[in-house]
Amino acid sequence: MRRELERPTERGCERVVLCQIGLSSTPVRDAITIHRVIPIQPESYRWSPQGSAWDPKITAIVSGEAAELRLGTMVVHSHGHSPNPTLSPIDRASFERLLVPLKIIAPDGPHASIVLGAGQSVGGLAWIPDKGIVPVVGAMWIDSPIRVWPGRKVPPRASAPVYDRQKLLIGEYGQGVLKQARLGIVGLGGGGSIVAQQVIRAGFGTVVSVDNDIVEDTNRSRMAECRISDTGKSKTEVIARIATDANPEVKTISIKERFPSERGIDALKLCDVIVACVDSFTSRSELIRFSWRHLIPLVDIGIGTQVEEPGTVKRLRAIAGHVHVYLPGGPCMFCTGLLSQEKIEIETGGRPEYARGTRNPGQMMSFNGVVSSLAVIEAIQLVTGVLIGVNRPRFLQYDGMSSSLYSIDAERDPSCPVCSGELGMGDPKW
Amino acid sequence: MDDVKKAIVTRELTSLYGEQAVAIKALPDGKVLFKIVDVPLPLGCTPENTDVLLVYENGVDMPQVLVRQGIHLKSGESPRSTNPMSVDGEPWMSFSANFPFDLTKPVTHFVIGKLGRFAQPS
Repeated sequence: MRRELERPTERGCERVVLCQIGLSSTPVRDAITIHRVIPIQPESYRWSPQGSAWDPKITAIVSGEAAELRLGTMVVHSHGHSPNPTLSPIDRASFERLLVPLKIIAPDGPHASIVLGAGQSVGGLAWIPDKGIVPVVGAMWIDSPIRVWPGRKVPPRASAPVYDRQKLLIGEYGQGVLKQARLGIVGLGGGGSIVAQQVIRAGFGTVVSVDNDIVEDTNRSRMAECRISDTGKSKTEVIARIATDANPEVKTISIKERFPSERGIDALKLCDVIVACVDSFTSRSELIRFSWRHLIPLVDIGIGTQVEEPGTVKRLRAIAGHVHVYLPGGPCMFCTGLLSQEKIEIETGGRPEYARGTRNPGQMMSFNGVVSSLAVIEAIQLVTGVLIGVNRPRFLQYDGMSSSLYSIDAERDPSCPVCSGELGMGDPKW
Repeated sequence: MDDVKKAIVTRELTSLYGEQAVAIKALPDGKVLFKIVDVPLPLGCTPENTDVLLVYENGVDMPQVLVRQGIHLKSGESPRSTNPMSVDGEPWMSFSANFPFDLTKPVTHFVIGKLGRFAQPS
């Protein structure tokens, strides 16, 4: 978007892009999600003494399409040299004029006009239903690492001595960024509990844990830091106790519900990253759609096994897993083939509410720990960007038999219904 | 193709051809492609090596084996019963080769057996 905005125009106008936008709303924050970016073509600009102007038909078409999708419209331009960009009086007047028809065709909004400035600065105004016109105070660019505009304000030497050895790797700034970050974990079994243990000890500021299951004799051995006395307790309770015992600075939010639930959705919407440690295609389908709608990076892990017939001495023929980093805008789980409608229908028998878990394949904590640890590394990288100068593979596969890692390639499918239908749509509208 | 199957096939291919020679790509339609570079062809063929593409369809154990176009046999002739095709935007060639697929053997056994077709005179 920035490259497009900084290209010169023949008529010397500021360049503009139009966006179709959704709204991701929580009690503490409203976020505009971008579904589609439409640059205005050079031949469509018109000279105007008041600055950039373009063929109004274009805005009508873009906003009309947006309205059909129950989305709003955003105008973006650049004040490239300004470190503290704001809408000029002319820009503001233009926005207020544009709002009149936009509120008619798309009364759910949101609608916005923003300006990108020098460095990592952004300003502007947004119209939010029930809230009116509000200032735009920041932006997040969903990439690896996630870029936050303006940059995160990390106080110097803010972290406790317990992180001293870790800070030798990720720096004071990196530790401070972790402290401000919010990470969600969906699924707190063999994989998820290890993820929780590690992100709590790494010092993520807030950890949202989502699982409706309880600790039982059959799963206790694989849950990190789980005690015999935890049998019968909710898994979220165990995670909260890990934080209390190991790192009270970390705030845990426990959602003892199966995703998606209203509380779970509200809690996860504010996350910088979500780690999916679930065991069903249906759950993954819900999570990837949610992540795509609200533009939250998703790290998915899984592990599977193949054993020989009972009675043989050497039982394990294969144990393998994956650590996939799904960045909104890139290939989704349907694009990579991890999910398909066929797989989901086989799992549910055509009734999503009857999703069955996997067929309880064998599991061992040490193998789970490999993929869980790799997932935590990816989450730390997404948030802090400390691993510099390396093109990290997005889709990592683990072969437990040969103790090797390899990557697979995948591209976004232009006809993927999730990527085209859910990306940046924000909250669903009824 | 699940993680276990991917791991088994990858392990079998890299153990023979080396890690650097094998690349994997997942397609949205559920196919998984394994590309192996510089696989030796039977003696006398030109070129001496070719790239091989294994195409695994969803739920099917036996892969389709494809090679690069432009292979000539020891006789100098082009092999018969071949079919040029495009997979994921790249040109490949399917070929007719009567070699049974055995799930109990590594996939490399199948690949080598199929490529043996190019040792035939025509």
